[in-house]
Amino acid sequence: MRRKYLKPPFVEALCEFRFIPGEEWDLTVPGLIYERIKETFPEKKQTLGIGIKMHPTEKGIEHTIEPIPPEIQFVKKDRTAVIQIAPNTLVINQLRPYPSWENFKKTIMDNFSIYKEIANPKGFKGISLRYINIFEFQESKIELREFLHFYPSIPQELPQVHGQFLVRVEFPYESNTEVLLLSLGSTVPVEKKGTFDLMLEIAYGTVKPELVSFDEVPDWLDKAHDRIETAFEASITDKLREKFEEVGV
Amino acid sequence: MKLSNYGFSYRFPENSISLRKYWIEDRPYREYSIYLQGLNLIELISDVYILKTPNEIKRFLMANRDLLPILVEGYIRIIEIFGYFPVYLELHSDPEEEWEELFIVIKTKHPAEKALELEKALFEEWFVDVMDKVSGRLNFTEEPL
Repeated sequence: MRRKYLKPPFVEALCEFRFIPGEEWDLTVPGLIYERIKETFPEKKQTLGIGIKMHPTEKGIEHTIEPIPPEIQFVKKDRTAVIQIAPNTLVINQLRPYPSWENFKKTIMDNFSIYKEIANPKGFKGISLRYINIFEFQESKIELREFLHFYPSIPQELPQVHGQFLVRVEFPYESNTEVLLLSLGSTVPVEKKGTFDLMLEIAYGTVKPELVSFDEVPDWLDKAHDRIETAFEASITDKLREKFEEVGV
Repeated sequence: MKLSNYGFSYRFPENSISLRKYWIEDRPYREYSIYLQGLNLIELISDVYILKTPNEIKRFLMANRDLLPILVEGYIRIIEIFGYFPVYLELHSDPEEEWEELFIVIKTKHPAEKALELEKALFEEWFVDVMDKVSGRLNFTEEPL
């Protein structure tokens, strides 16, 4: 049975589709999609089309500014969700508060269908579903093992108190055609000095996207979500779970 | 070299997992997470500016994410106007007043008169446009190297 929390550590979930184009990218695609979704996603934003490249020279490191293709974002009225369109790419972002998997999946499927109808892609270059969670600690120091089942194992010969870290494990699924990536690391805290935040990021994606057809997307999403949820629950201890205030306990 | 290919919203995120090896084909990896885009911009800012107190400044930036694109654009304007000189970020604060302000400090070898002229140019060509948005949280100054 799925656990529910009053104060989940959820920060963001996103589903990214990369497509094999049916034809050359048409610049009118974002506009046509906007016409279909503007009631729910009325605000348009365009990322700046510039990039910075650093390279060493005899005088030191120099930076050059280069043009890059801009991306279009359509933002939901209450700013809790964003649709991002780039050439042959569709991304659906869900921000706080998380509405439930059923609602998020519906947003994904609605926008996937609209994109497919307008851009007419041939197949997938990649599909991924990612969840980003932030665990906030008011303490200046904690024992990771009290809060997490997934953390770096520090050999006895090394200092047992450590600073920033990042651990990441890849788990192959479906005979290596899909993969779950589990990552835990320090991140920049928003709270005042002396506190710290940890980021648990769980992603499930295709290694061989050609094996997923358009019709299989709803089932693929459910499978990806189930595996992400299992990984999340397996990674945390009851002590950390207490901070999220589980419903019905 | 830490940086290889930046965009405003993308770089291969060193502080997060990446599906790069599975999805990169014909273009640089692009970060589509709104949250991680913010973190990546903080990393970008940490690479181009010199942060006097990195942890405190990163925390300040995390809490004032609307300043991130402004700081990136500011850096571009600074090197266009002043040339390549060290550019520092300093966080000034008064805990009793709960006041914090980030200062861009441009260290240059230009003669005083020229430096003043360039500082004025930076104000007119960039800062005047963002002043209302950043008021009380971001400012800039020039100092001799």
